[in-house]
Amino acid sequence: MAILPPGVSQQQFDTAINRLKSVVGDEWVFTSDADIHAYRDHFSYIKDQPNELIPCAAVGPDSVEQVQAIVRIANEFQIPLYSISTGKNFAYGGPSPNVRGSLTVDLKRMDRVLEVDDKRNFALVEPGVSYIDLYNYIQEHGLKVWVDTPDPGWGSPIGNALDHGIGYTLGPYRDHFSAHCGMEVVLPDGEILRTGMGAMPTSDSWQEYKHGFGPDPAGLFGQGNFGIVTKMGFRLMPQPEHWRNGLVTVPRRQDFIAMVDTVNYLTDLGMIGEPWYSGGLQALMTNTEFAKAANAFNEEEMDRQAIAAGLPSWRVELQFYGSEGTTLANWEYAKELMARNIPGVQFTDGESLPVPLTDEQIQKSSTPYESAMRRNITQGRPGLGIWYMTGRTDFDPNAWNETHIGLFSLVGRSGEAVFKAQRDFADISRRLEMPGFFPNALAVPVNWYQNSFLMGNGFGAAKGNSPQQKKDATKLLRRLLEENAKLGYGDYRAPPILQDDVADQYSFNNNILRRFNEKLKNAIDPNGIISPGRAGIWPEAYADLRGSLRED
Amino acid sequence: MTNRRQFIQSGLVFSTLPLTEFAAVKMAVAAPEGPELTLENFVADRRYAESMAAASKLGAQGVPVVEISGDLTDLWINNYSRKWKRSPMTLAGLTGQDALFVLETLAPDFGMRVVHKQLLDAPSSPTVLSTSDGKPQVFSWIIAPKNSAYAAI
Repeated sequence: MAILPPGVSQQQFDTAINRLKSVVGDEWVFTSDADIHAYRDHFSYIKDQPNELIPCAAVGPDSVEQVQAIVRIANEFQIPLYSISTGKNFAYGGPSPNVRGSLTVDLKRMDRVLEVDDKRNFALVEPGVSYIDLYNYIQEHGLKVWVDTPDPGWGSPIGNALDHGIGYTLGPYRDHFSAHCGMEVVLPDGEILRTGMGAMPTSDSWQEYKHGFGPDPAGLFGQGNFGIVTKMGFRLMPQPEHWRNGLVTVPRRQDFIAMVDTVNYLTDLGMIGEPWYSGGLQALMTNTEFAKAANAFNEEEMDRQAIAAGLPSWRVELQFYGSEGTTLANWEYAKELMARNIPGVQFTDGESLPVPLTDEQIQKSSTPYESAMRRNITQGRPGLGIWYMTGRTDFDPNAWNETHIGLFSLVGRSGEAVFKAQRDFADISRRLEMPGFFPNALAVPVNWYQNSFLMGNGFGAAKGNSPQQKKDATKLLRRLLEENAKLGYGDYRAPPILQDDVADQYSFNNNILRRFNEKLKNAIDPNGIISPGRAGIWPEAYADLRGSLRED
Repeated sequence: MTNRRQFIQSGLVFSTLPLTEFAAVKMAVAAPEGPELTLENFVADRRYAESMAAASKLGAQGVPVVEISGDLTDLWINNYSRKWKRSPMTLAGLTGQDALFVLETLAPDFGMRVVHKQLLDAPSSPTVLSTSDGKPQVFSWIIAPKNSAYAAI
């Protein structure tokens, strides 16, 4: 199933392939169907459809110089490129490009951990390094720093950060792109750029001060298509001596407002790690009367039934890093603040453990309450266990996991905003005839980003696994994105098939953001060869592909 | 990273089974006829009695067995992530599909691929994993270097 790059003839393609082989060696250029199979997104909403986003070939460089040569060849032959680190960003496109027939630049061979410093607390890595690789390096060298890892941890710190991915420890480290410090980029003309203090050849501060001098172009490479990142620095969390957790529960629905305000205060003072919110009343949804009250947002009835059942309306698990003494003091302070602000609040002490936790402590929580925390990721230990949730394999591709066919939308970081979002999402679900994934009145936010809430919605869009059902789900998600935009709920990440639609949401001043980015794109990348279409940024050379995946 | 297209034979052959033992592996993983199978590991999933039974039999015949309970994290971080970087290997297993999914996804990065897999009928132990039709999925499988003789069958 040979696919050519758009506008490129077979002869031109064959010549380009031979040129690539002369750069990286025959064995590192992949054109067979069996090899290309690894570069398909097996979670794609359009898998096996005629418009599936499949590359024409893949090439595996092992040095910056080879990346530069590949970029120059791509310009010469006008072949669009799509770079991947480990290619494991499943549910957001994985290894698949934005343009069918792109040449995938597989950076996995560039897998060196260049430096880790556990006194100044930073790392410098290449794109092929995975979180697990970095974790192994730190363990092997006995370094006292942590990786703030996503879940699963088989992805790349560079790839994850560039897609605005997140983790689960302390606030400054959870926003992986913000936690980066300095990058090296191969630009669309093949030149090498270093950001921040990397622009000063003799500086020793590349991984300590990211602004450098003057405008900082680093943001252009996050969810952008202005270059191929070949090195990236990250600030790392020092390994704490102790970890503690505890549970806070509140009785009434409206108590959530004060709970969030208090948690925000503790978070922004740097006193707690990621808080894990959960509802306390899911068990009551089997009660017809409660379900009716929840669906109608009848707060008085919900509170009455919660009290009668002896269940809290809301829960938040807090976690603390530091010494045994400081974690205890911070937990006591958290309890004092909550008690000051919320009558009837209750607390349950969790565990208090020296760091590092043992394997047994990681695998088995001994907290005296049901904990939603996946323990390994709170300890900077990457894992693979989260794949219990997938039903899909190549053997049974129709066992397509429905869990991540949905959206995570930005919601204001307050209880009031969460309550509004619950009602808005419930209303949108009804109008689009889409079942909600959660009982909407009980939906909680995630606080992956320290200063923001994200809330899941649209997870009921997929009603089955047939190609038609997947198409229908995609159409529904597009309508959902439109409806969300009207009410201010923007998406923070998306697979290629939805990136144009998400970009449409950011429409202030006649989509000035996209117009600005595309003006830059055309100036910096006149042939448009670096990941055209990424984040809805289309160069002139491929402008006719904008919206081409929409089948409405 | 090692050469992805080179079949590695020396230094890592932990157990070469003569035909009689190969038959046991074949039965364990329901594999088709093939050349002599050089197995470095059999991955046993503690959640399934069938898997532990196969592990017991193969272990008695000298095949090194590693055990998981679905989650591959420890096996990957402490073992395979390092071994596979040095060179590809041949391994077999009888596991839930969640574990197979992780290994089949990682294998191509290290010059390997799944060369055999078969869904087991009516596994004895239910899995916590939910699939689209609610049925547990347990697979027997073999992963081998992608240019190995076994992969060519």
